[in-house]
Amino acid sequence: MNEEKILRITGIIAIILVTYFLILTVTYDFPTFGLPVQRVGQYYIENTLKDIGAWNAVCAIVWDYRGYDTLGETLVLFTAVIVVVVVFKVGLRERNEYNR
Amino acid sequence: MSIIVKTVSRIISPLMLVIAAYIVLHGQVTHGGGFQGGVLVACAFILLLLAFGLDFVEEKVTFKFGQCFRSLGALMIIVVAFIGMFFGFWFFKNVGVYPYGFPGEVFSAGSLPLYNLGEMANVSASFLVAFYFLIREKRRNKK
Amino acid sequence: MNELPPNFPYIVCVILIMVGLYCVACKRNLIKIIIGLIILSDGVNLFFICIGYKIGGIPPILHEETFKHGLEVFYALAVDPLPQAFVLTAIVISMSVVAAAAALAVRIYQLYGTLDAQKIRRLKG
Repeated sequence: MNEEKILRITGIIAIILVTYFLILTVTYDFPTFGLPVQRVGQYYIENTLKDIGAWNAVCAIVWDYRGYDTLGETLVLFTAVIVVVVVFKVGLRERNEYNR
Repeated sequence: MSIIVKTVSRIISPLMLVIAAYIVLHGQVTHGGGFQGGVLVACAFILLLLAFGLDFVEEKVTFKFGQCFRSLGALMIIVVAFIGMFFGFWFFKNVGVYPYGFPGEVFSAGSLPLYNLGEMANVSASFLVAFYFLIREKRRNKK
Repeated sequence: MNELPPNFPYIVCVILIMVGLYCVACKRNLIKIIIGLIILSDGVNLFFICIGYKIGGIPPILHEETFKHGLEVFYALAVDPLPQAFVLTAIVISMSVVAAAAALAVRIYQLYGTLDAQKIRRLKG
């Protein structure tokens, strides 16, 4: 067996071992599913109607309580579309060769 | 594309725009908001693009119009964020909460509807412009 | 199979994350690597949402019917809204990354004629 095959089988065995240990950790060491441990969420549920006057708590969190994160995410979306446009522009040397 | 696809997409695409307008404007009352409505608007135009071809849609929503619309959406978010600073508060303050509307209607919750509209413009034009470039065919370099 | 194992939603999330990791690390085609990236981010977002669940939960959004039962019932049963806000931002960011990666993959195919990650390393210009 050549080198590539040994590497692939080692990779698959490593991933199966990591999956096994992660499933054991998740079943016995994590908090029970359905009993949340957060207290900030409880504050947001109780005080959205008083502070902002909106019925949708998720929209209030996204634009008012955590507005800076949404501003950063808008910037990331803007930059990604600029990347897509720039990758497909024809450069100057290619345009001269194409026109010749 | 066959005639069934063309007819069905011509009927469904305006309905998608109407539902997207409902989802964006009622962002502070029920589920939804800026991102969800913006993606639905972009999908309405992409459905027309897949059924009728790139040239049919590109002469209606050109590349330059898409760039302008996207920039106007992002600019609106920044301008609404700066309005709070002129009245003595901090950046990103939510102005006009209680005197200007009751909870449970479209005109409520301060400046949240304006943020949702700006985000809808940003997201929908972004994905449409990116899709134009990904789907164009180009001849390979003659070597 | 009458009883599911305890913390079953977390096990599903772990399986999704591991499948995505396998596709990113051990596959050679560029499109398959991008699909592995999408599966990985889906697993992580699902794990985030599963953290804030309460048994017998309702969405954290008021409407006229919840006012009839009283607000204490709503405060006790409403699901945590903070992980949902985080996941909203994370989905948009991962979609932007996938769009940029797909554009790069299309350009690589136009320039080199192949999509094999091992062969692209050795080509120039």
